[in-house]
Amino acid sequence: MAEKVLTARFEKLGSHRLESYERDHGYKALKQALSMKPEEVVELVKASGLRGRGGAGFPAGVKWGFVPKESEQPKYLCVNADEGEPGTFKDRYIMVLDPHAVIEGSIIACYAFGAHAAYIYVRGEFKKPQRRMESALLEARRAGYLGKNILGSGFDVDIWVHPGAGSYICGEETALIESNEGKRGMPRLKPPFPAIVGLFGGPTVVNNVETLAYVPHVINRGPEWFIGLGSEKNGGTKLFGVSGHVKKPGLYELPMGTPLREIIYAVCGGIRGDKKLKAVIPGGSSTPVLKPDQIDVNMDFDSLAGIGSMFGSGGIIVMDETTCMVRAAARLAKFYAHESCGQCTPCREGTPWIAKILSRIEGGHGREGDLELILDICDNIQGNTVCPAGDACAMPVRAFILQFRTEFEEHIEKKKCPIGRFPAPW
Amino acid sequence: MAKLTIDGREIEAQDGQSVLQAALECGIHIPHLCYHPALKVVGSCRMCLIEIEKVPKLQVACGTPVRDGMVVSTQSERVRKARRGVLEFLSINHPLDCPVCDQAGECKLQDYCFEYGQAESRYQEDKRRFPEQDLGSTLVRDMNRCIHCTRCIRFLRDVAGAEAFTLYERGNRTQVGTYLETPVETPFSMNLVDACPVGALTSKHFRFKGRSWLMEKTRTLCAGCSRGCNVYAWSQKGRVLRLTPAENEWVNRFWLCDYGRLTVNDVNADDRLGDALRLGDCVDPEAALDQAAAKLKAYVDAGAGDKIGVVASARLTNEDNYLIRKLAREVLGTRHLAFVEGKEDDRPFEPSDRPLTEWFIREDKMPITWGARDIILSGEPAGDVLGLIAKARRGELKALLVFGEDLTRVTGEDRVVEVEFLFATGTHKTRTVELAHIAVPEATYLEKGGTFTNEEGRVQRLRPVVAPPGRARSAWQTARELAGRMGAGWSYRATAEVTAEIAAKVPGYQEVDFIEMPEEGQMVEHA
Repeated sequence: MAEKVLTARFEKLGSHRLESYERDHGYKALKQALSMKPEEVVELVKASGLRGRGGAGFPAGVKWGFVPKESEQPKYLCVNADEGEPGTFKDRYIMVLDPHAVIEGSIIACYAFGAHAAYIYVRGEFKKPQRRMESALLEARRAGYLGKNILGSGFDVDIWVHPGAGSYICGEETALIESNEGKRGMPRLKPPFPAIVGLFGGPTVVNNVETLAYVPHVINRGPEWFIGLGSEKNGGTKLFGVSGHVKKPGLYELPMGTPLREIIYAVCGGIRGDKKLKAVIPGGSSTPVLKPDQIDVNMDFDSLAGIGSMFGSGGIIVMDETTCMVRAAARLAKFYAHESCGQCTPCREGTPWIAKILSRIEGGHGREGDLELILDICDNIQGNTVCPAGDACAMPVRAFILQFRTEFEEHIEKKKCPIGRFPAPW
Repeated sequence: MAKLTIDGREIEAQDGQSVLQAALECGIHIPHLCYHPALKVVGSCRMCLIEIEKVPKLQVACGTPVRDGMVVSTQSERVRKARRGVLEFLSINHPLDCPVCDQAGECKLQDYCFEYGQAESRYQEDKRRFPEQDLGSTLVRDMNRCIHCTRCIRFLRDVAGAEAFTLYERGNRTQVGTYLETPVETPFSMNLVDACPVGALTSKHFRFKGRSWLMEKTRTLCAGCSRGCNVYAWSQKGRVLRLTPAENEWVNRFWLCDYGRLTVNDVNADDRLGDALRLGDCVDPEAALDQAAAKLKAYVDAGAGDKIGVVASARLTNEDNYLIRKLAREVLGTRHLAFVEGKEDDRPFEPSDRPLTEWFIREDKMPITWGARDIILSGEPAGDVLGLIAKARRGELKALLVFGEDLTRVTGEDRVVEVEFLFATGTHKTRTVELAHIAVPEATYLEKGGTFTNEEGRVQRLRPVVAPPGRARSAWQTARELAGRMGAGWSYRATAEVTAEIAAKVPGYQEVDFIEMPEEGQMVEHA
């Protein structure tokens, strides 16, 4: 079994307490970082190639490097703990079981690019993670890791929890910033990018929980160790949340680049009831679906991009032969239509349109030409919206149709589900 | 300075401008809906998508700053497809009720669909329906027509300083409106009708009154206060149906207050005076003027010209006041000339980025208090109206000529003043008109030409939009008729001739040119 990094402490009793964290060399990385120059910390993280774990895979060190050194406005760190992508359930475990790792990583990040305040934007429904983060922050503040002149370094920083109000779109970084400001969570038009004008008008970095939880380990053990866990451009381990029709669904920490087949059949014990695998969504619901003949792919950012899908957030959704692909696509489209913020035209109008057509096909009322129409609507949405939420609907819907076209066509021709599924009640 | 190429044409743009601004300035029209020059850019309608060389995705022209060497295409097949897509998205849930929509003919969605849209709909699902919401006395909301551009929200929040509108619900169900159906209570609510590029917000006052393509549009001025807002007066069959703002960066920018817009109701009121009155009975205006002139001439011939009081008004035009003054001084030979003026306003006049409530509407409800001072006083001491009335009450005046004013509103009493001869002109059947021995009808600001000098000293042109009712005319014409009948031999035929004489005689007005006046007006020095 490969080395556990983020989950190494998960099974210890009281792993969320400061005492336990310190016993496992917690806040050692912070002390080391504070002894370095901020630029050196940025360089070190850059050298590790640590890529953002939220979905886009942008190198964290490079992101920090975008923040201007001198700024009249205060700089901020926003920790993206919104984790709304269907199929993804990793950040909540980190926050509940190892909250101090997130706090330590956040403090180091703040030190690296010069922020004195950070907000952990926790998804509204995550009550337990919110409470855990709150109490961990209290412990850290009492112990002098937060506040004025932390650990006698002369550096001031504090962190607060900002509970979300229950919207998928607030996981998009600029919508998160708007929501964090107390406004309606709607993505902003870019440019300007958050690194220049972000939270309350100040330069802002938005990092995922998992990314920040990795930072102390990178500081402690160095870039070479990190790269050694995975590959050069895809270093480290990754939390995979495997759900769906596998025997052992759950959260697994595996090296970057682990083949998908190994995850499904070795790690998760294969398909439930030893049925045939039909489809896999590799990284959260917005990533294009894969067919069984594609599962030899290595699970890292570049390999998945290479076969036309995306690594995303590590939320693997496995579907067996009993799953109706039309229904799966319709359900996904309905989700994105429901979660569209309503700001820009293609996403607001296009996603419900797709959802309606898919639902109609599923209900046995499909018409000839519906598939071409959906694909064209996807074309008109993708790339033309304010934020990536439009793409997040268009990409998987297109993939479902292109990968499983015959099943969609049979639905339309036979006016019912070829595998005998009744239409969904919604 | 940045040099960029748009559709093969090289243009120059200022740094910091958006591609859309730069293109519009050069006469290249990139379709846009949510962009408004006075509002914050949100880039949400996605109509202005453009293709930029070396940029993989299409970008919104409104939110993309110009860069030197940028090569932009606004007509490539990719752009046209995206644009067609956006229009289709905007149309699928739209009720397409153009035949009964007030916005038809001046609707951006309609225009763009005509130009770039597709003729047949591919949408076969149920259309979205929104509930109705009452927004108060000025606006009608039809959410089904809304394209969610948020111009209304941005106008209220960023310009009017009234955070009345908001978005609620989300996604496809997003509504724009007020919280709990609170009426929109801002003196600028009707600007929302102009800000709305489609027919989602229309005016209760203009609703179903006219079709934009059948109306005639005349650029003129609002007479509601001393700002002198530039307006378009929209008329059909001799009636002005609405006023909308005309852009003037130095005066009203893009806006017009509700009060100003609704002054049009006074013009269309039922109690307009169209014929002359003699002691309350209708008479022929020519005969009425004959009698009035004879009466006045008798005073002058008897050496009692100085016993005639003349009241002019800051509600009239510069030309009206100029000839009233000339009549008083040169024909009647009286020193007793006064004019009704408005209140002082010590707030700064200049358009600013502060909320409209703080600067837009002036305390002075008369359009040309300053112009009247320039023209009537011409450096002489001020004659005030109440002083003039007091003199009349003491019996020092035998006759009183009142132009365009209701003196009962000045004195606050029901009776004007007992004089031997009271002559009045009036736009409406006011108390003064009823009490006058002879009254002749007067044209309102929408029925006559001339110039207004606003509070800042800007001379702007007023244009006749419709014909006055009956035989009403401008005060300057009435003054000319009286003077002519008294043997003065004046030869003014057109407003421009009076304006030319003002330019020649009134200090500070020498540059004023009626014919060649630029749209933004001309500044004069207050004496």
